[in-house]
Parts: sequence; structure tokens; C-alpha cells
Amino acid sequence: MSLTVSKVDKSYGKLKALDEISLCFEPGNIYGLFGRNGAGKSTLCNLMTGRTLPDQGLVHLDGSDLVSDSRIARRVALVNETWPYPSRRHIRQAFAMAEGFYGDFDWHLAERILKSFALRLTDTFASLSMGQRQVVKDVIGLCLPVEYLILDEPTTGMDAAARERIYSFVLEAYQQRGPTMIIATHIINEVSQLISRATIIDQGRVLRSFSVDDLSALGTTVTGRPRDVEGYLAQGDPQLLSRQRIGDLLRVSFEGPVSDEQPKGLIVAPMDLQTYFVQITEGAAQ
Amino acid sequence: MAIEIPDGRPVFVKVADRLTEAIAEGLVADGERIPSTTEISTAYQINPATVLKGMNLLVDRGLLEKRRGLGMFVTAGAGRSVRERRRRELLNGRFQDLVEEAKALDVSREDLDAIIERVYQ
Repeated sequence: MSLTVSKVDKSYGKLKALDEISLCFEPGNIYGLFGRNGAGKSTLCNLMTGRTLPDQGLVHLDGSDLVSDSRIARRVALVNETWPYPSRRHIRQAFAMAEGFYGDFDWHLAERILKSFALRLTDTFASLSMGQRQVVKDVIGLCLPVEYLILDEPTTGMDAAARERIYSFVLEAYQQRGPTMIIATHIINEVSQLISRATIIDQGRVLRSFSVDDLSALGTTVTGRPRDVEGYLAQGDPQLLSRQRIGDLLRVSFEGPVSDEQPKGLIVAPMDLQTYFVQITEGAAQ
Repeated sequence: MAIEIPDGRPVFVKVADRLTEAIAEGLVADGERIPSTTEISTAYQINPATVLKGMNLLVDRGLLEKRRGLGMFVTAGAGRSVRERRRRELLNGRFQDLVEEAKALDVSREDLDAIIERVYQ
């Protein structure tokens, strides 16, 4: 059982949004789908729910073609910037419409989330602030009985406290019903503890795909006097990601793990997810 | 001159460290149940599989034990063993580094003794 994208091409006019991209999302994970603005995240999210059709290639759920088999569409939900429900009716009606299509909406969880954000089922979408609207969209996704839930920028317009709270509910929903989740965002620090796997895309292609438990083995930063840093680098043959002067000091980063010994006069540190992301997407752009 | 060193250790290692700290500080005593993966996961917004992996690290170290259907418990003697290990690490590691650094900065033996005397009171 998995959601797979195989060799998918998608262009908008001359712009190539996805370039022969292949990915596989296995059940039981929370995936982080990362990319800079315009990397192709949203196009990919739309494709995986059949909202956009590929020019080339296939999207499968458990071996069934998502494009030609409309029953599949009910097993995958997408929360993104769109609001395909009436804006001037009570949000209760939007929830009921979603239930009509996907079935078995978790009203209990929905009311709890709304209450914690001081929202009511009788509020209308049009009357809400941007952050509140995002909460309502997230509620729909989190309360549906789907196997795959794709959240495209799920905290748009929310303040820090609200973002934390919604992610707590994301985890609660994940543990209650256990949908496989794919969270697309460019704010990586926000979800770095939430996810079990990360996929980084850039210019419509997959740059990296890895388990976050392997993170300390992914990249390393070394700071020190240039002579010491060069000496350290000369011991191995690391694949450099960046090289930066800070005053008289040199900071380099490279792929691969930190060695056990801490050389004198150098600060050697494993890269966190955000730094690694920035480094490799910078490298790819050059 | 590195102002901010991002902590790139894997999250499950951080979970294990925090739990070890809680055991050392006596927040959870020997024989007591620690919060479930679900409780920790939602409270700190950490993937439940990651939390479990961190806990299993402590099971391997003999600090926690699983009791079927009941949850995860601190083993007998875990508190003492963690504190003992910390004591060794402090005396053999950080404390020696500190004295060496003080020496390199020309802090006199008398001044060091005086500080120890004063703080220890």
C-alpha cells in the first residue's frame, strides 16, 4: 500500500513545474515535503489528489490509477489555499459537504479544535481572519477518514501559538486514525520534530529523500581558522556544500556525518534540517 | 565566533536525553510510569515513532522497561545509575576542562579554591 508518483512531467506554458519526478509515500509516516518557493510542491500536491493531471507519467494509490479511478480520490484529501465550499454559510455546512464526499467526519474532534481556537460551527468562512480560515481548512482535513492527508502550507496566516496548537492536533489525528500525512511547507523548523521522513524537491525534481533519524549523518558544519579547517578537510575528501568567510574565520559545510573526535580549535557540528535544506537547495541553484 | 550552533542531533536522541534528565532529577522515580508516547508526542509535538525510538534507546540502556499493556516504567536503580554516570562525567570531563580553562586564563589556585569553598557552602 502506497501512494506513488512515477516519472511525472507537468508544465505550465514554458514553465516546467515537475520534471520526470518519481516519489513513493509509504503508509505509517508523516512526510515533510520541502522546497523553496516555486519548487513544485503545490503542483505535486494537486497531482496526488487528481486536481491537476500530469502531462506524462502516473500517480497510483495501491496500484490503482488515481486519474482514471475516481473512487481513489476519496481516499486522499488535500488541504491547500482553496476553499471549495460556500463562504457565506455556516462552516458546519462545509464540514457536512466534506462528509458527503469522503464519509464519516469526526465531528467530536472538529468541535474540540474549533473550541480551542474560539471558533464555532455557526461561524461563516467569509467572516474569519486569514489564520482562522486556515484553522477551519485544517480541521476538515484532520477530521476526514482518509488514508492519505496532504497539508499544503497548513499554518498560513497563523501566529506562533496557533501553529503549535494546530500541530498538536495534527499529531492527535495521526495517532487516532493514522492517515499517512504529507506536510508541504517551506518553514522547516516548524515540522522538523513532527515528521519521520523528509523529501526535498527543487526545480521539479527530487533532490533528497531520507529518514530524519539519519539527520546527524547527512551534513556537517566546521568553523575555525582557515588553516585548521583546510587541514581538517584534507584528511578526508568530503563533498563540500558551502564555504563562507566570517571575519578571520572560515566556515565550511559538507555532506556526510561528523567524525567522533573533536579536533582542537574547530567547532564541528551536525547540521539541523533547516540548515541542510538551505545548503543543498543553494548548491542546486548554482 | 559561532554565535548559534544549530543542534543537529536526531530528535530521538534528544528525546532520550530529556528523559534521562527527568530520571536524574527525580521527576520520575524508580518504578514509576513515564508518560506514554501519545502524551509526550502531543505535548511536545514530536512524531510518536520518534518518541518511541528515544524510549527504546533507554530500554537498551536499562533505564526503562516495558510492561505489557501498562506502559513504560523506570527500572529499579535507574535514578542512582544515571546520577552516578553524570557524576563521573562531571568529574572526569567538564570539571577538568573548567580547571584547565581557568589555568589557561591565569586564574590562581587560591582564587579557584576560594570560589569552590564559597559556592560549596
